[in-house]
Amino acid sequence: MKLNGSFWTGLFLAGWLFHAVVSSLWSIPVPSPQWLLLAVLAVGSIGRVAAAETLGFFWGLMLDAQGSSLFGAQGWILAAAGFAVGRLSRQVDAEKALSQVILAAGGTLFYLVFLAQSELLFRGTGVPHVPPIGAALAQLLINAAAAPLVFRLVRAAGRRFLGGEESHAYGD
Amino acid sequence: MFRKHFSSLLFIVYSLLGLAFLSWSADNAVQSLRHTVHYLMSPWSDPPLAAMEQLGDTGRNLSRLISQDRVARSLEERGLTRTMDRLWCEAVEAENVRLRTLTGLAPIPRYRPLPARVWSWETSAALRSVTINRGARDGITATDPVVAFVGDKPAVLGQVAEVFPDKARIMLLTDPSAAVSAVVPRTGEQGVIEGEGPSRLVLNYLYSDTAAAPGDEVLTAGLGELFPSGLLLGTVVGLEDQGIESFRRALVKPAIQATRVREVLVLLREGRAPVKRP
Repeated sequence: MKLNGSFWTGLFLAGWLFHAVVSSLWSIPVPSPQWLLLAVLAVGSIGRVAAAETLGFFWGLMLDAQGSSLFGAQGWILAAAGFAVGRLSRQVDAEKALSQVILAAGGTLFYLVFLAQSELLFRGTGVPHVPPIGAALAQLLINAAAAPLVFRLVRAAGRRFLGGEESHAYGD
Repeated sequence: MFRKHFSSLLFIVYSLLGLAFLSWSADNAVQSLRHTVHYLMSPWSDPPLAAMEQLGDTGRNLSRLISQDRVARSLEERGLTRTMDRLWCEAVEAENVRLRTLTGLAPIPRYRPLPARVWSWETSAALRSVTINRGARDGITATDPVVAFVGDKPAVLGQVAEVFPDKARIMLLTDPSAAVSAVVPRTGEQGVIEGEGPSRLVLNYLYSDTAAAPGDEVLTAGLGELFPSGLLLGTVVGLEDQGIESFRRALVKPAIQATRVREVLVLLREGRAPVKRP
């Protein structure tokens, strides 16, 4: 296992810091890209399945703690997204921007559907927090648009700090 | 075996953990965690926000500085132009003085404006004069021109006909006994403008083939040095035969309606000291 602990810890902190700063400064009337979801997908796309699902799980829990979603919902969804993309990384050429956009769109759709499902299934009291279809569509488009940038950054960081080669071993 | 399925096992662990959090309604139990996260996030957002605001202020200040620099450059250029104009005027004036000395010509008079308020109107139908609240003690003498502003253009109202110590009566341009040398600047033709009642002037002594046309402005010509040249008199509204062979006359609408005037300027010839009030 070539998992470099410092790199992943650094990525976890840097990703959260970036998300915290950008989301607090985001003032234009469109949703901010889901940087952490995109980063999880990008890490999964380089074959680092365990890292993707671990980052996804803990980033998701942080998002749950920060936001109003049920605690554990985003943790599981991001972990599942990282696991799924990591599993698919052998079949997908994630170097291509089109593949990145499709992965981002699919990941966002997965995220939105399962987040809504978790709200409907587990929200005991109160109104389930299900996003309106227009907002969900806008989020999907924005994530797809931002995906090439995030994928490029994560893949470049991976090549720089993890020795250059991608891993498609299921266990990393 | 374990290594091969490590990520799958890990995913199962995370799934179970996630399901446990969701099923046990951990939402309520993590309120303190939420508060901690918010507490941790707030310091991250404040400095960047402050930095962004600072950056915005800097940008605005820089933009203002550039704008001010442009204004300063423009003013500097205009100042230089004015300086050059002034130097040129001084040179021309010096040349004029020399030429006047050589030819014996009297200098063109300069005028100093004296503001005054309309005191009363003559209430006859002809409305031939108005009285102002300045008189001989302010330096006004008979025949001094009186102007008022039409927009930003000075226009002739009339001239001082009678002077009292603190008042003066102004004979309006529309008085039939008023006459002023005039010019149509578009064509350069000169004539004499005379009053013909409260709302009508005539410009006499235009040649029969005059090019003056309705809409042309009529200004003072400055002949006789009674009125400075370039003051607005009125606008041509029509032409008609004068009754004298070879001449036509233009009907002119006065630039000023006397009943609308509240303040006027009496143009005092410079070099004439005003009489001091007791």
